[in-house]
Amino acid sequence: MNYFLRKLGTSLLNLIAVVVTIFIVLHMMPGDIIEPMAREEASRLGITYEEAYERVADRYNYNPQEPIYQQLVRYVKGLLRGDLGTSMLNPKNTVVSILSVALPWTIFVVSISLIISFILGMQLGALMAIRKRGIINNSITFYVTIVSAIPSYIIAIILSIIFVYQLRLFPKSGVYSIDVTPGFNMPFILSVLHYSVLPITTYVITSTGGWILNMKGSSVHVLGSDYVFAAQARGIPEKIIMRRYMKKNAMIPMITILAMAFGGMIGGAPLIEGQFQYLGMGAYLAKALGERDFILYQGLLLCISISVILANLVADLLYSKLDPRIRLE
Amino acid sequence: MTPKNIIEVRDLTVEFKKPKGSLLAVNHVDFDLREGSVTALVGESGSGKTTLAFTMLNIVNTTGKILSGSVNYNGTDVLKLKGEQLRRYRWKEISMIFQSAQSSLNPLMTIQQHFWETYLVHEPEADEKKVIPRFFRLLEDVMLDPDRVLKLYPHELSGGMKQRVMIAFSMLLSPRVIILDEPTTALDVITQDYIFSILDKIHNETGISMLLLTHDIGVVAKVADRIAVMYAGRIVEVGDIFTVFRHTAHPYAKALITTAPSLLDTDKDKEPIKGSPPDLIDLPPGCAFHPRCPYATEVCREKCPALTMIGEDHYVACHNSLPGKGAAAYE
Ligand SMILES: Nc1ncnc2c1ncn2[C@@H]1O[C@H](COP(=O)(O)OP(=O)(O)OP(=O)(O)O)[C@@H](O)[C@H]1O
Ligand SMILES: [Mg+2]
Repeated sequence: MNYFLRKLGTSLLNLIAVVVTIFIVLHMMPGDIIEPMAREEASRLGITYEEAYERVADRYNYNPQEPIYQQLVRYVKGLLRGDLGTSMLNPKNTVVSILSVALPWTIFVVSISLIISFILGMQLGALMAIRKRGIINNSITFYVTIVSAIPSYIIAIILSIIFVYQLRLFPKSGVYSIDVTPGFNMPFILSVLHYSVLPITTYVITSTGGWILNMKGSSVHVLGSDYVFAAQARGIPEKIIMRRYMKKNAMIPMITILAMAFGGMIGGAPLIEGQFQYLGMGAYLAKALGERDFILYQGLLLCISISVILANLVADLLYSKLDPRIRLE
Repeated sequence: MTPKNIIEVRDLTVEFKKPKGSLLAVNHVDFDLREGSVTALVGESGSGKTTLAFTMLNIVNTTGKILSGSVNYNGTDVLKLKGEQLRRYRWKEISMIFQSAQSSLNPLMTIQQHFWETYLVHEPEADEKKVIPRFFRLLEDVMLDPDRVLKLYPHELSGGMKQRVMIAFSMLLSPRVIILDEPTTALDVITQDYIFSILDKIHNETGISMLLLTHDIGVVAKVADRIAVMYAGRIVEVGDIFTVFRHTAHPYAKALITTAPSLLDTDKDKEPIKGSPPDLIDLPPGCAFHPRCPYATEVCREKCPALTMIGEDHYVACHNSLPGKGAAAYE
């Protein structure tokens, strides 16, 4: 329990540090982005520039003319109310509403991709550690070498050329077909799956190699340990040694990496999501950056940071659950 | 009556390939383990004790290769055992407590899970409830509280407790031989004595054959009844403990025994062995010990001495220890 509280406290401190850092970094960007908008608004509504400035600043909950600490107070107050401001390009959309649309899709795609690539990686990695030579090993090595040399967006492009433009098996863009009604019904679920196949495939192709190599390294390390040797001396069958000794011990660090990878991938891969125009976090991140929509960008970054911090917390707790050596601390 | 050997090693050679060249960690060794004895295998670090012991379980390290020889256990050549037969032989017939005993247990399993797993893979019909009393007895024999210890994970045990758990573990299937590789080096002196008294008790009660590997000659005097001295991959002297201590024939064995702290209380000629341990990759020709030997003669530089009987149950591999020569034992 104590351990849990300590970890929770650390996470909270991390969160505060992240909020402040993101805020300060983004506010050091030169130029007053409110100013042109205030000018435009003043002439459009026929009000004074000062008045227009005030209104625009309030709308975005951001006033670059205030001293920085006051800006921070304003920002944090907004956060506490659950107000992350609104998109600068489209003031009708609050950042929170954009997040609530984008986040579920990214979480969906990321979790399925991670589960698939993790399971594949664990099995193949363990296999590679056991069979040092042979066809399986060589082909996996070949695959990993090739894939790790190709950037993920190239794979996304190749997949979309083949499956979207040539074979026309999958849609060009979006997260589900406009012909279905969202809800718990078969057509919707099938459509969602259909639209997510290519982004998921891209993630799996690009990330499985890493899991394989990680697991292989971890397994080889465990295989060299004294307790595996000792188990062989006790006449424990190889099958049990592989499962109960090698895999279990080798997977402990993998599972915590998994939790952290999940957090890291919440940012989505802007280039992958962009290629399939899959409207998750990554796509919005790319959009916000490209259009200099800096309030949206700030909101997305915050959300991603929170998921990384949460993921680390989960990783720590998982670790203490899985490894009896941590439990006593 | 000739004593019965439970293990007979014949002409055994084990090679390791290193980047700098290959070395023979065990070099044409003949060795007998008498049934019911406690035999100490003594030699400095790197002399090949562990490598020799591993072959008795046919568990040579990945990089090691057996070039020649056989290890007979009860009439079967252990080195020829394969697959299921070999698996069933290990721990059931011979168990071993490794030099790395402190890390010999799976960190994710409790002691009970370890015991039960090993028991089950050798006795597939077993019923856990029925064998738990046996686990209790084994742990009580090594003065541990079974109720508590069985539930613990390896990291929750102290060094001495772990060593005792390993001793209990090694007795799990009532093997006929137990090999102990430096069983006390990681422990403090009091715990060492404690462990040896436990081993002594086990030996007296079960008559199990023990092979004790150590470089601490002081330990040998306390527990062993036979001793074999190893140098650079060869056995250089072997025999009954009293005979070897009283009539030490090999200059290296002699140096080992006399330099042992407070053993024979003969402080007068206490002198550390001169020179440095041999480089196994580049062994000197002839007797490997000759560069450090005060009695070395011409023949020592040319010919490697064979293990020869010089007294009743007393063998030595030295050109100059044969009766009537320089360092001779029985003058
Ligand atoms: N796995 C291995 N790979 C390469 N060389 C090895 C291996 N195991 C042992 N050797 C070499 O074989 C020789 C004998 O080693 P061994 O461990 O049998 O000695 P030892 O008498 O048990 O020494 P210690 O008292 O240090 O345990 C050493 O020179 C060592 O370098
Ligand atoms: Mg050793």
